[in-house]
Amino acid sequence: MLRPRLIPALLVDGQFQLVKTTAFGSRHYLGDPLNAAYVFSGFEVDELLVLDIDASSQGRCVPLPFVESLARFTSVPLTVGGGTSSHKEIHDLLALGVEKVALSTALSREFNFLQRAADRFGSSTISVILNVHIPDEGPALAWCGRPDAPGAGPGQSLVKLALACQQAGAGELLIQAVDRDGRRQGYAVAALAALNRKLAIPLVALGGCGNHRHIADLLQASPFSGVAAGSLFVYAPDSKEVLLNYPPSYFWLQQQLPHLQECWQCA
Amino acid sequence: MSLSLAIVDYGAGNISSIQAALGQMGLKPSLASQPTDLRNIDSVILPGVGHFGAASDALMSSGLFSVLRDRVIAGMPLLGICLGFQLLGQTSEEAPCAVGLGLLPMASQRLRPQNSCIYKVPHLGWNTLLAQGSATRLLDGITPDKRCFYFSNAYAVAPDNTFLPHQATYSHESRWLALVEHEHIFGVQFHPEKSRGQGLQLLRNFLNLAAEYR
Repeated sequence: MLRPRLIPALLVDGQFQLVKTTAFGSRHYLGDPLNAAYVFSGFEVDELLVLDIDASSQGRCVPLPFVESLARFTSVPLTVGGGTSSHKEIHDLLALGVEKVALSTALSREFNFLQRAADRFGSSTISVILNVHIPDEGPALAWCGRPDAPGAGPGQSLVKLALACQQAGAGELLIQAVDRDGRRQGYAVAALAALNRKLAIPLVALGGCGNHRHIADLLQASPFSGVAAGSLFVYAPDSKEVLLNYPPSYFWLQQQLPHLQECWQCA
Repeated sequence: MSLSLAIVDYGAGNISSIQAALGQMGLKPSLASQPTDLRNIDSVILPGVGHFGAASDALMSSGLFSVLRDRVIAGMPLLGICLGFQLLGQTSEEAPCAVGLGLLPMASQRLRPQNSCIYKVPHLGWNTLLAQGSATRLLDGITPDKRCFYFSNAYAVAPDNTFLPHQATYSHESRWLALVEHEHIFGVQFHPEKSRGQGLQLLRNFLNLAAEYR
């Protein structure tokens, strides 16, 4: 059967610097994104997620020359996002060799764009990123785009918005827990697992991962299609020293799979 | 003389990834976007991402549909990838009015798992090949532990005894066709161009097989 994809999430700023954010705020400079992508491709990662986190606020799409280089320096499946808001931009990104284009902010302005994009390019190529606040009590709130963007509004019910994305043809949902970003305290397991049970499309969790225990907690709760992480793959354990890594996590997960698959079949 | 290989370019393929993968083997395939582009070609790769109906229409309107079909029936080796694999069949549930190339007796259907908590659609990620036939030449030199490939599909083809022992399957609640070989016609549901060293080996195997058929 399918194994959960283990996905390094790389954030690129407006100056083409690789950064790691905390709670979508403070940024830690890590180095050159193309070099990092090249290293992760050498690790043969299951998939690589690259997001231009300044594109939407600067009113532009992730630059094509950058994505062209990204595709040239890598041979692994790529998901790319950042400010994409037209068919032409999606077409151009896919033509460069990107597997999936991640949409988010554009859907806050015009949700119907999702359905048109999925119809035109096929669901398998369209990923949607929802940014979520998960309070200790009460329902999780979700936004397309940044929750703190001008005019972002009070947020919608995560479950409702996720089901609307599924209905509109999203091929995958990437749920990013804003408050957990960069904190390395674990995923929002309960809310994500509840959502995964309601969805028929692949779900990828992002935000909060600091170690393998966090991944085990997440996957024991539910068979997620993908587990994405920033800090885990760019820092040395329990530090902020830059250390790109992947193989230990990959082999660790490989060992856990028989046990996890038993958990899922019995659930 | 080396093999002259073309990638069929009908506006619905992940062409640059396939070019990059073949480039790693020192190959520079040409692109075939109209019938005359196939004139001096002796093998083709048919890629594909997107919608079965749109792809079928695009092949028709470029004039490639019948030329490609005739050339392959006349013996030109072909490798179909993902939607390009499904287009080798007759029809797809994705577009009931559209026709495939009809080179293989198969039809694509929507994946509809019973257990949608475990089995999501699209079928997205790395899956292992099962029930490999004894004569699947595309898998030569790929050890069993490496027979894991990157898939991205919401439609699929059910295995059929017609193809035994020239097929391999994958499991997504039930069994589906991952790979099929019929003489000089080859198809894979997954993306060898994005499937690590084993994917490159598969492409290399196709090129060697194509050279044999030339």
